[in-house]
Amino acid sequence: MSAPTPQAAADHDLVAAYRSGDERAATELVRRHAHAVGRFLYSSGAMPGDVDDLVQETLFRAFRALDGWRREASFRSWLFTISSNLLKDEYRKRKGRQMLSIHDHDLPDRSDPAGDLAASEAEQRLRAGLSTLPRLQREVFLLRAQEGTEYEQIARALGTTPGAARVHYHHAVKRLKELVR
Amino acid sequence: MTQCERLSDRMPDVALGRSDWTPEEREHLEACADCQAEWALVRLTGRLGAGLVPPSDPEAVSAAVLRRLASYRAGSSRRRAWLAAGLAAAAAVIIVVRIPRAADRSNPPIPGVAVNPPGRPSSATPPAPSTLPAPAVANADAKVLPLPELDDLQASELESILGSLDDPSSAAPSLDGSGLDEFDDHELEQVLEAWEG
Repeated sequence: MSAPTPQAAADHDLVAAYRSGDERAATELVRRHAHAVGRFLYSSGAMPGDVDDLVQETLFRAFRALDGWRREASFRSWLFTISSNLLKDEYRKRKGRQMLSIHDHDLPDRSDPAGDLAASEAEQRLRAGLSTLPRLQREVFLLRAQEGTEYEQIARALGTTPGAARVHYHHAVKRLKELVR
Repeated sequence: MTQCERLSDRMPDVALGRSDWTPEEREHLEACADCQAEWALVRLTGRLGAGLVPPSDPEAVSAAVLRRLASYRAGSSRRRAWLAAGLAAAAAVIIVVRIPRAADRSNPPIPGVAVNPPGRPSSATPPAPSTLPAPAVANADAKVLPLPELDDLQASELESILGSLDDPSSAAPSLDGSGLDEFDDHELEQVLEAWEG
């Protein structure tokens, strides 16, 4: 039986292939997840100009510690938890200064350059609101609303229960929805 | 479960295009201000950061990450090697300094092998022969026994020195470094920093 092509392989197959020395598997993992990790970082308060570096740092930390991925959560959820730890480290390093970009003027090329100003303002309010949430609430909310991750998966990724994840999600919704009306 | 809760659970899937509203759900959404606010929030969150440019060349990103990894691992091996060498050197210093002192405390000097500090004459009267078989390698004033003088010691004295090296209560740390494998890199850095002062 021939080995699956990188595009068709599951994440855990790619991780195994990379650990056996196949660097194409690493490239495929990057292709699959780098953009989502960038969006997660941006949504969590990273400065747009820092996102690329933070994505690379997240991937570096992940590949360095692949033994830490126990496959209880999806590879992407695991990357998000690494990103979140990284942001926390960065926040401490900068002593809380300049982690959240309130203005989006330095956001790289948007798919819709003439994007709706009102929507842009709502995005800014949402990002500001997300940055005020407790970490677990923010992570649960982003995993659910941005990625559509099921509560069971979220719970495994974040070390909580599906019921608690659901409560965190609804708390976040309650606090955030006033901001985007 | 209320209709609002049902809609809430389905919102991410519908916003991500994995599913669509049923006519009943759509009808509820049009009538419920609370669900409309949540729906707006979920859709906006789904778009958040969508304007970020995905890596145009994942191969380049992955190559950069793998280069960093290779360099990190090489650096890590070097740090471990330096750490092991440093610990071995520290242990050697401890052995050289401590063994003569330990021997002083427990054993009288043996005639003929005592080492005196420069400028200090040896005792004019030879001490009484020891009844202990212990390996005296230095007298009370001795600092370091030059290694060539080991040649002058008897087999039982050398055995005794070796015994003191194997004594787990000895101040000299293990030189095999096998326990270091259990440290992560951060801990190794800390050990190295502590050792380097």
